[in-house]
Amino acid sequence: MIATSSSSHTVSPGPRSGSVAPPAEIDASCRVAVMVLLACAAAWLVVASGFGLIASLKFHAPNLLADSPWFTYGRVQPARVNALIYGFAAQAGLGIALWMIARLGRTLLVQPGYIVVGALLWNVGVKLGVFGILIGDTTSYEWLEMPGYASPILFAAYAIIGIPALLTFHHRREPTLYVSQWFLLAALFWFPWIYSTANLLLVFFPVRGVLQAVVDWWYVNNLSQIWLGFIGLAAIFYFLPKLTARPLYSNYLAILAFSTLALFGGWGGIHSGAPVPAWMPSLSTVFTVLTAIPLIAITINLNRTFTGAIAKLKESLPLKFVVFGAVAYLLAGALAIVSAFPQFSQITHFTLFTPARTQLFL
Amino acid sequence: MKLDPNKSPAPQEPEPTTGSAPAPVWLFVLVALLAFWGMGFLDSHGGGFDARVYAPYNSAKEVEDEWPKSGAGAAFARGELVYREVARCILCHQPTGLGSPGQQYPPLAKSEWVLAREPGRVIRIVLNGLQGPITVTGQQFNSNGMVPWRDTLTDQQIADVLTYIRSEWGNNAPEVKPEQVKAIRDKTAGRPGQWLADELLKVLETE
Repeated sequence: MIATSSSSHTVSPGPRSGSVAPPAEIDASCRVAVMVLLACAAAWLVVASGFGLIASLKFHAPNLLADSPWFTYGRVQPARVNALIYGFAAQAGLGIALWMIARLGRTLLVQPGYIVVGALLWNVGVKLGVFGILIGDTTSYEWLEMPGYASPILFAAYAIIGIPALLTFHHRREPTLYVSQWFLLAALFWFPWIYSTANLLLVFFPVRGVLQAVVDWWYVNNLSQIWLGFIGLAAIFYFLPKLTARPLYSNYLAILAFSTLALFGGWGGIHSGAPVPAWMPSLSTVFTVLTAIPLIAITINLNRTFTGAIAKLKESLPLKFVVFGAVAYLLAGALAIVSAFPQFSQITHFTLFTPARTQLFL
Repeated sequence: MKLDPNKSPAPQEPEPTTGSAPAPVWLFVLVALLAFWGMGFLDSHGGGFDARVYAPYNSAKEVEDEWPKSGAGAAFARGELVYREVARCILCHQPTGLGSPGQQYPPLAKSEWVLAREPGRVIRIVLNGLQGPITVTGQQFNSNGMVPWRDTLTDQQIADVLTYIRSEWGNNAPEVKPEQVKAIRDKTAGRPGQWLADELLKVLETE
């Protein structure tokens, strides 16, 4: 967020016109909403790290908090994961997404007041959910541990945040769409779809037996690969050209990466050897390997954009973060592909490899 | 990441733009190659999208090969199930088929009653049960009563379990058909109570 003094506080966008909003005004329109989201995200990151510390200490000192049912490993660990995903990653992602949508559309953020309300409601939902996990109301589905009384709140809050985001996109004054906008728009629609589907099928009208695991894997994979992945990629594609002051190398490569990732990315997640009919993990393996295509396309694109701008890496701290994020993302993707092969996953399965990979990704 | 480039030289802060370099051809070739590989992988590991095929099996045929073959093999497998789980013959006659001589449960392994070429008598024993003294493999037993299975087991199940005990534990007697069981079931329909061994010996094996 640019720190120049905000001269005007006109929040309601005028009728669609050819005039673009100056960046300072855009930033001013975003400031409160995005700051609330990012500040809460940061707070949840601290909370999640605290839970993570407790969970991790239990491996070394099993007696620690052992007489408190609230802080048993089985509750602290999911509480940590949910705080990290819904508290930190989702809010940070949404905050950056809102700002990028406004900036790239060269328009003011629509109804930031609603977004603040939505953000606060989202935080109520996450608090209730994490509290529910700690008191033992967990649903026991990975990444969906929040009990049924918290998830509808999250869903409603997402809608309150998401609709102004779409309206902002609709009011854009910049006719050409940039790569990041595709990713952001896709991500905006992806979350309500997967979150509602997974919750309905698992928490409210549970499907039977092993299908539950399949739905859960599908959800986890889509949430990480598509939703968080798309927002992250949008940020990388936005900041890398911007900070290096060079145009993105190739629009076509970006189209290829976007479409193939959207097409292939959502199918993975079922590890080989899962107790489901063999075609499911096989399909999952194939599509995970196919995500090599978008990964390569992204790598070429970013690399060519970046070439010749090495010197800037030294002087720009934000650029260091972006490059580190990009490298971590690509590395995590490569590891995911390698581990999709049955031979490999037989060795690493049930080890800390998978959690480590997930962390890298985030 | 919210740190915007304050030091950006351009006053208007240009938003990023895209170049139009073409995507390399080899990437599309790679798409085709990976798609081809993927189809091959699915073909060899996907089990033909058959819901019965689980890892580590790769095709429906591999799974079916593990199933009991038709005929005697299938009857044997079904019969083992009757012996172990359905009628629980195993409780008295034991997994070894040796019975428990101490408790007057006679053996089935090597038993001349079981191994008789025509299964007429052994079918009668299963249908109506048996009690009293009986000689099996040269040993005297005083059966305290095998229960009748007439109303509990079907012809098919009796035929299967007899086929099983006639070919397990080194036994080697021909298969029993459900029709043979049905014939004797009809013939002995009105008979009350369990058989005595002497009574059975008067019945011809073939009848």
